[in-house]
Amino acid sequence: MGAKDLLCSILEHETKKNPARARKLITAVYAGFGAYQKRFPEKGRAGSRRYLANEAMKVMLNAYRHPESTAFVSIFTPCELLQAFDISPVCAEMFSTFLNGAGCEKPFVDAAEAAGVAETFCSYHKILIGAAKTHLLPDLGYIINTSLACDANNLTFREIAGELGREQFYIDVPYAKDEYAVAYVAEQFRHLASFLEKQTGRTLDMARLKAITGRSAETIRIMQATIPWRRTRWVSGDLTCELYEALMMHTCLGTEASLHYADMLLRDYQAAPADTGKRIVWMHSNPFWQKPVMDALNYRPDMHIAATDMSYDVWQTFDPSDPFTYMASRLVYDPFNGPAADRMNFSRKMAHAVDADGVILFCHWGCKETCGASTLIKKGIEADGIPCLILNGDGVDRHNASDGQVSTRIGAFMEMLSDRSEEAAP
Amino acid sequence: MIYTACRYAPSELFAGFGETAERLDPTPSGFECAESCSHPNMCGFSKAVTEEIMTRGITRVVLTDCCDAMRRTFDVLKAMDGMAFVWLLSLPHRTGEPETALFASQLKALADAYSRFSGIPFDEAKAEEAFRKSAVSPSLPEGPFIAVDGAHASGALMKEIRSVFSDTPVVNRTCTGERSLPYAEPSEPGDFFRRYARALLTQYRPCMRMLSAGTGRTPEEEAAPAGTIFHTIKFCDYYSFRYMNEKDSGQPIVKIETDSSLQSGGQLLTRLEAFREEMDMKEGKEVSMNISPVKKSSPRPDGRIFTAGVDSGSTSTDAVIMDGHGNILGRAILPTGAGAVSTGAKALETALAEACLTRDDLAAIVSTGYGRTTIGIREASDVTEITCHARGAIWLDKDARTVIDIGGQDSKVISIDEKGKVLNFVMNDKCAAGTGRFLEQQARALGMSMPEMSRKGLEWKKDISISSMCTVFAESEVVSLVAQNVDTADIIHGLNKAIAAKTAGLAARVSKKPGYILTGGVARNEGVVKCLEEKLGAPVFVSPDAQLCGAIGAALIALESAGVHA
Repeated sequence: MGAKDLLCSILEHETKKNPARARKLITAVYAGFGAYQKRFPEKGRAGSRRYLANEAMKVMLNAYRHPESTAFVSIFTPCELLQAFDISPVCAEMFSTFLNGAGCEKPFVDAAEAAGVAETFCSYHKILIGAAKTHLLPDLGYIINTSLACDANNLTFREIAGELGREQFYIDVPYAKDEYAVAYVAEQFRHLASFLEKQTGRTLDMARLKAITGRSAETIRIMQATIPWRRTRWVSGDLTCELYEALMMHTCLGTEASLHYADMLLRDYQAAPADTGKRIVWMHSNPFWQKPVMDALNYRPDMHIAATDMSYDVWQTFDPSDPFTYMASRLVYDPFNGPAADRMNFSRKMAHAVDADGVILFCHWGCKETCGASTLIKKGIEADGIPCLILNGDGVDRHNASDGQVSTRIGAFMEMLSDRSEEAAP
Repeated sequence: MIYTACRYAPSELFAGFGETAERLDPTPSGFECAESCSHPNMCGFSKAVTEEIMTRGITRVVLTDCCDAMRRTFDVLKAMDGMAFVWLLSLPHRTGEPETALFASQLKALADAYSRFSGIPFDEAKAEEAFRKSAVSPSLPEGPFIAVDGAHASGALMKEIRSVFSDTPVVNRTCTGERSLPYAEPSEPGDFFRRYARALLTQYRPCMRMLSAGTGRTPEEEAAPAGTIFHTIKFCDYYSFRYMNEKDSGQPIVKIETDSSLQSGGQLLTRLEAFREEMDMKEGKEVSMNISPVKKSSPRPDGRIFTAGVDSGSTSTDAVIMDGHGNILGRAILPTGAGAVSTGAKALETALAEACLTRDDLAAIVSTGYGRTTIGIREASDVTEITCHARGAIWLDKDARTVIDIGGQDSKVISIDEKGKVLNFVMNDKCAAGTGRFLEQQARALGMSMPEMSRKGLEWKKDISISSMCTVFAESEVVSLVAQNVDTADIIHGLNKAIAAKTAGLAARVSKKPGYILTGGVARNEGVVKCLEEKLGAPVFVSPDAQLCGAIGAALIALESAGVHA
């Protein structure tokens, strides 16, 4: 039995016997790994990405250590308002991803399915529900989610709020993208402010909120500045860092850490060697734990991820001076909202902006938003002469995917991209 | 004609253009078209809608963004050549004033768009009239009724359910079921869209996507049905959550799952009939299973009674002959093979020969299992294997309270009382994971027989886990472990653990009562039994006659029908 299997087995046992002890155990494991990662950083990671990994671990540890001042949010929820109340957000996907990282997702998938959750439900959310049902999930102080980008949010957060006995705050994002939709969502953020004032007994400091949204807009501006560099420079990284970056660009946007990361990343790009490899645009979450995908894309100058739509979606310019409208606009005009054509066109632009050689569209198990749009997106991207691979898999449940199938697909795609270069060579 | 797919769709609006709207009710035989332009892992109903529109050549469609899958169905239709008018109506998740105003503006935008498309001006008075007429109160049958709840149940599925519950009214409470809008008289000029939006959003029984769905029930909903058939659709997110919260309500409930087509009719029928039997028993209708005595010229001169039970499963066909005291006089276990019809009769004859009896000696024959209705024994009455396993289990072990049956084609867990009556049950859903077939497939990959696999699995030394439960994925994992020289015994143990985890999960959905008894062919696999005991944290009883449990139950029910309670 490997170390992760052993940990999984102990955690499962402890969760059944004494959930509080199980929470302490997983906290200790994360803390230990965090300390190790800080002392012995992943060699292939550039400086900015090492910083990113450490910051992500801090967010996770904080949720276990200080659940009362932590808000459980969906990944697309803008969190500047929470920061203004000194509430730390942790997103649902992150919680599940970390459990997978520790090799411990299986007991919680099982617990959710045993409770009646469909096997076909998104695995990120299944793990969360399993963790809530078995009380591994800490008693988080706030439950806040948006309807974006999927139905699973509507269900999981309602269920978890019920399990924890907390009031759920829900932000409904209309499908239609217009000024009425922005006004409607902005009004909901105003209600969120009142909700938080009531919950915390504090008054919103508008100047502070404006400073946070200003920092958020500045972070986006710097991330936009990295785009031209991505066409020609290679900054070494891995699939896990892409997920951390999605966290930094959504849940942590507006924090000092997020701004600092953007600064470091831009500097890393400016100092990076010329890119001589194949640039891949990755769409949706990724199976960071799966060996054939890691082997194909981690720390490789010849083949690497140049951009991911899970963080690129945020890099749009909106005026931060009215924080409520700013946050609402980000949600309404996010390419993950609205018709598949919006996401397709956004991905095409992204692929062109970073001069991508290929696009991998990851169809995560149970994600109808992405699976349902996959054929259309592939068609649109390929119409621009960029090859697109639809890769079916599971971002977070290793028991629901086949290494063999993934290896063949991703290997063949890489070979196809290499063949194209050879053909194009004079 | 405008086609819609959801009860939140504004059907009445189209009366304002002199048009009628029809709700699609697809039951396709496959999803060839839908999957080619979308993805296989989409909600079955959304695929069925796409399939229906494509195969019927429908060109005018108004959908609502009721779920992720329907939004993508719209995207697919929008991109398709030949569609004349495709519209997606943005539907809020809340029902307050801001949402009503927003939704009213969406309805107005739809009316304007359709007017532009058709060249017909919108006649508000006609739409108002249609709206007024739609305001009917939700109907509730007098007396006991069966509710079909959950996700969209097609007309064909409702027909199948009604045929099983032919003597009880059946009400469609699914997400596309009965529709009733609360009508409000105009209070000021030009308020049609606001009132209509409000009515659509606050209609009877909110769909699970609405935030109000989780909060309280209307008085009508409080009228509890005698039993609920809860329908979920493969890859539909919403309704397994409702099931999760309703399954422990104490009311009789059974979950059925389809992909919106009527494939796997055998499994579906088993569940429906077993549920009817369960409900009949709760009402004390002991012999409502319509078991008719075997027609013969004269009863036995010595007055002794003998019955037979025949269980026609996907892997084996088992038969039992029983006397009036509940003693087994003859047994047979034959591989079902390709001909369930001939094997059924053959198993019966084999068991009769062992008992030194003939068919003429039998007072009643009950057949069970998937082949129960096609078994080829004319005199046999059929009862589902759920009920038969429950009766058989209590005969095998009087302390049994939770029956776990892992058969070749499916696995099931049945919660029973001290008399062997079904209290509740669950079955796995249209997937080989956790069934005997899963183990058979892996045994083939390992190049060994099932008995060899059973023995070998006990010799494990290193605790490894097989991560995939999908039969195909697991097979490739097994092959790759063999290639890595992992000991076969360790691989088998990993497989046994996987099947045990799956089964324990199923058990947790229905009962956590100790008194576990394992039946079915997999009960002979000691490795699985040990892993299952570990997972459940309790001993699991395995009878030497475990495989005959269904046939024993069938013979016992036949005895009951002859007035004998063994």
